[in-house]
Amino acid sequence: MWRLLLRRVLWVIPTLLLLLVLTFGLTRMAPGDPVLFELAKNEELQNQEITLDMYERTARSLGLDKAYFYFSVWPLTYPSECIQLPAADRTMLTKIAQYSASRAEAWTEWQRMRELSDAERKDAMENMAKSRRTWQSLIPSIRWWGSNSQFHDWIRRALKSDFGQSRSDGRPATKRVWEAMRWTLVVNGISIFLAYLFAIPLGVYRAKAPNSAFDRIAGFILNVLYALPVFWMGTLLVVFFSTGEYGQWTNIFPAVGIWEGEAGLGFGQMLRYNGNQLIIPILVLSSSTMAYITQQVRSSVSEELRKQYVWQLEAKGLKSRTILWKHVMRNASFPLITMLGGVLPAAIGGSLVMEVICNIPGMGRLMYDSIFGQDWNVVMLSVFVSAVLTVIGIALADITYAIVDPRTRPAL
Amino acid sequence: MKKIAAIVVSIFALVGLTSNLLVSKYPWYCQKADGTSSFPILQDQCHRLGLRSTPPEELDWSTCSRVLPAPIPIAVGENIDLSARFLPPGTVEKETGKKHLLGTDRLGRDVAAALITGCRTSLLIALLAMSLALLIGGLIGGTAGFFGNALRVSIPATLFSIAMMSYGIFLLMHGSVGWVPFSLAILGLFIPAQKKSKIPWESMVMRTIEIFDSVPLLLLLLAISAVVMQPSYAGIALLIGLLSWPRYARYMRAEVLRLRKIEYVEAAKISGEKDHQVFIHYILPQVVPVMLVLFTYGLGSTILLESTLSFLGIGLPIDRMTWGTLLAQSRLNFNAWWLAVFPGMCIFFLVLSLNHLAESRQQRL
Repeated sequence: MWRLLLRRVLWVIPTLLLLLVLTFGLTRMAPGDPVLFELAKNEELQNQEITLDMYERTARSLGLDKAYFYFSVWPLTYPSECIQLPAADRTMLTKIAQYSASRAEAWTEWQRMRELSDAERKDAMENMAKSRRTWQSLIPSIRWWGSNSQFHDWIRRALKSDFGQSRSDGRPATKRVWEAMRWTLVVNGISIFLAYLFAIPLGVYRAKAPNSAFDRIAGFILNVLYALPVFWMGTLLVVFFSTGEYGQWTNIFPAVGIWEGEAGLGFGQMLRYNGNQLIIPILVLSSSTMAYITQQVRSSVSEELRKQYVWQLEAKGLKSRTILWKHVMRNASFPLITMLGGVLPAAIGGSLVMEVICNIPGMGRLMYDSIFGQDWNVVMLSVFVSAVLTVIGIALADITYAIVDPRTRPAL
Repeated sequence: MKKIAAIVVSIFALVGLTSNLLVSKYPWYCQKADGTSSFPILQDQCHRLGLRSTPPEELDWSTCSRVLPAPIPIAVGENIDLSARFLPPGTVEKETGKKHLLGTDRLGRDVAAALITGCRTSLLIALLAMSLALLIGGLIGGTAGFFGNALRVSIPATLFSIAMMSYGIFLLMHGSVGWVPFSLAILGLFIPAQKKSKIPWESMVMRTIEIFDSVPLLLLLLAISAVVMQPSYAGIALLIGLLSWPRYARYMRAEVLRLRKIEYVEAAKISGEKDHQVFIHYILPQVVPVMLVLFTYGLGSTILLESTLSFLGIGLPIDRMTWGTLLAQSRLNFNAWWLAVFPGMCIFFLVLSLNHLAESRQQRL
C-alpha cells in the first residue's frame, strides 16, 4: 500500500511543475510591459521621454533583460539582443530579421530604420514586407541560455515562496493571497461540510424508496438547485434581500460585503463581526454542491441495496435501519470520499463568483480585482494556489480512500 | 417532463436561429404609399451576407401605408439611449414611441432584444466549444480505449510528424503560415512502416486527463482570457473546447474499453476485419448515444460557464450584450429587478431543460 501512496504523492509533482510553467507563461504573456510600469512609478522621469538606454537599465535591474526560458528557438537571423528591447522595438527588429540574411544585417538595418521618421519607417516596413522572406530566416536555431533566464530566476524565487510584489500596493503577492485564502477556505469548508451533512441522509432516504413521491419531488427540487446558475441565485438573493425596496422584511442582509482593514481588525475579529455576510455565499454554494452529492449518494446506495448481502441481513432479521446505516452505508460511503476530488474544483470556481457578488475579500475577489488592475503577479499566484489546493485535496481524498476501504488493501 | 424540456430547448434553438429576423429595425414587409412593396428585412440579411450590394433604404416606416414590423423593432448595438436608462418592463418611450417589453439596461438598450441575440451567442459558443471538445476527446479517448497500452506506431514516422508539427508552429510564431510542414506532419502519420513499436498510449492519456481535472476550469479560463485582452466569440469557444475535452475522453475510453471485450467485437476482430472497420462498424454505433448524452450535458455547462465569464465581465467584449452581461448590470442598480430576473430565467430554463433531456436519454441507455 505504501508504494501506491508514494506513487500517488509523486504524481502530484509533475502536475505542480506543469502548473508552474503555465503560470509563468501566462505572466509573461500578460499585457502591460513591467519595465515601463516600473519606469512610470519613478516620479522624476514622469515627463521625460523614455530612452532605450533607460529602458535597458531598468530591465537589467529587474532581471527582465534575460531570455524567458532555458533555451529559445528562434530563426537563425534574429539577433540575440532582441530580448532586451521594449515590446514595440522587439516586434520591429524581429520583423526586419525575417527579411534579412544574417544577424548582423538585421541589426544594422534596424539601426538604420530607427533613425528614420515615423512615416518613412512605415513606408520602408511595407516595402520590405512585399519582398520574399530569406531562406536563412526560415531555419530554426536553438540558443541555450541556461540558468541565465527569467524562468530560472522565477522558479528559484518561487521555491523561496517569493512570487513578486503586488502592483496595487507593493506588498508581496504571497501575503495578499494568503490573507484572501483564509476567507475562501472558511467559505468553502463550511459550505462543503453543510452539503455533505444534508446530502447524505437525503440521498439515503431517496435510495431507500426509489420512485416514491418523496424521491421524485426531492429529485426535481435538487435538479432545479443544480441547474440554478450560482451567480444568478447569488445576484437574486443580494438584489432582493439587501434593500428594503421590495417590502418591509426583505432588508435582511444590509450593506453587503466585508472590507479588508476595517479599523485594523484581525481575521478572527473580522469573522466574528462580519460572519453574517457569509450567509448568502454559503447558502448558495452549499445548495448547488448538495444537489450534486445527493445524486451520487442515491445512486451509490441504491446500487449497494441491490446486492445479495442485504437480502441475507434481512433474512437474518436485522432492522432495516441497522442494515441501511451500519452495513450498506459503510460500503456506499467510500465513493463519497473520492467524490470530494470532483467537488473541489467546482466549489472553488463557484466561490470565486460568489465572492465577487457578495464582496467577500477571498481569493476570487482578489483575482477579479487584480485582473482589472493588471496585477498579474497576484492573479497568477491565485490561480496557482487554488490549483495546488485542488491537487492536494484530490490526492488526499484518494489516499484516504485507499486507507479506509479495506477492500483495496489486498490489491495494493 | 421530457416533452416540456424538448419544447423549451427547441424554442431556444429556434430563437437563436432566427434572432436576426426577430430583432431588427427593418420591418418584415412594407408597402409604400406609391403601391410598391418590399421585404426590407430580407434585403438587410442579403446585404449582410454579401448577396446584395446595397443596404435597404432607410425610410420613416410610419409613412408607409402597410408595415409589418419585426417583433422587436429595435436595432441591436446601436441603440444606446441615455435618456432611457433603467426603464421598467412595458414602458413606452414618450418621444419615440418605442416599446420596451422587458425594460432597458443602464445604457438604455432594450432587454428583450439583448436576450434574443444573447441566446444566439450562448448557443453558438456552446455548440462550437462542445463540438471541438467532442472531436478531440472522442479521438483521444477512443484510441486510448481501443488500443490500450499497445498502440503500435512507427517511431521514426511519429518523430517526423512531431518535428514537422513543431516546425509549423515555429513558422507560425515567426511570421509565416507553414502549410507545407503541417501537411507533411499529417502525411507522416500515414507512412506505411515495417517495424512498429508499442507506446503506452492509454497511460499517457489518463495522466494528462488527471492533470486537466485538477485545475479549476473557471479559474484557468479566467486567467487565460484576461491575458488575451480582446477575446472574440470564437476565441472563447476554442478555449472552452480545448480545456474541456478530457471529460469526453474519459467517457469515450471507458465505453470503448467495455465494448472491446464484448464477444461480437472480438469475433469481428478474429474474422480479420481491420482495426478501423471494427471501430466504425461495431463500436462507433454503440458509442454515439453515450456521447450525445455527454454532449447535451456539456452544452448546459458551457452555457453556464460562458454566462459566468461574461457576468464577471472578462470573457466577451464588453459592448456585446449577452445574458451574463445583462445580469451583471443588476448589481449596479438593485432596483432594476428585470435585469436580474429575465436573463437568469433564460439561462436557468435552458440549462435545466438540457440537463433533463440528457438525463432522460441516459436512463434509456
